[in-house]
Amino acid sequence: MSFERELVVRAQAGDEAAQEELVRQFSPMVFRLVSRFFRHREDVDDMAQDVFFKVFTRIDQVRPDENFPGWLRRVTINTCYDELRKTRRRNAAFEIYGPPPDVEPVAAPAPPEPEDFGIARVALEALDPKLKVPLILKEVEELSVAEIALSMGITQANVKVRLFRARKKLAASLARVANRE
Amino acid sequence: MNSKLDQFFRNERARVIEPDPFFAQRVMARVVARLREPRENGIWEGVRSGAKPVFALAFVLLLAFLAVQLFIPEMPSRGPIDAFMSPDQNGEHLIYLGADPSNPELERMIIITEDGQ
Repeated sequence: MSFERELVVRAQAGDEAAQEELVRQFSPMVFRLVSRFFRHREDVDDMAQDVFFKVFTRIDQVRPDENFPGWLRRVTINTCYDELRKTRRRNAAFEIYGPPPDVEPVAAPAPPEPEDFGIARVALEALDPKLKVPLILKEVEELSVAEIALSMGITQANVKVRLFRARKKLAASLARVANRE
Repeated sequence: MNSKLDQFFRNERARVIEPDPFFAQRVMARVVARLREPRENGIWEGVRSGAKPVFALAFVLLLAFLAVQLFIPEMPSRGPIDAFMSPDQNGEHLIYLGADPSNPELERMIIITEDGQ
């Protein structure tokens, strides 16, 4: 039995030391993946905590023959996807009704980035999560179509359609901005 | 345009946030705290999450079946026309209809009914 498999089995039995070791081993991977979708360190940290929390509440679902890093990647991507959808719905509601009166808007400064990328960033942020997630996984995380399909629980044909639509929308947004300037 | 996008994606690839040294401890503190919380879901905790919808559906169907049995009246074994045409009919039902008692036909039927009893 490999060391990783042994850790998973021990974690399934409720061994806290094994669970902590799993977090240590896989947190760099989870952080890297989450930071593809969220830019602020606090958001990435919160999301990564949510991912590991979900992992340990569902760890009994990991089959003995399952590839644990692959399973963890699926959980991470789905957690980020759910959060992006929630954020989008919340933002849509704020646009219509305004922010709730008892919530102070927290304006954390965004990490600095080259000026040229600002337009691309805005266009990417405006994409629907169901288009944005496969695009980021393909272009930034450099996953194959098959891996994206497996991670998102959709067919490969569906991934290709979403990638095509995402690129088209992104190009259209950038062209609009360029024309305005 | 495309070269700008490619550059943007390359820049994104290079942007990596690393976990701080206490991240594992924070996660474990949260997991342990959650496990020590009193169980809120009662019997649902013992059921595997995949089987929960099946149990919930079975429970709803059982309740629906009981509701049908309790609240929907049972269908009579024969309809009003069958009852009217059947040979054992008598004039008893006419007494409760508020029909005009001076009607000779009704009077005859009531007398037949009384005699029969």
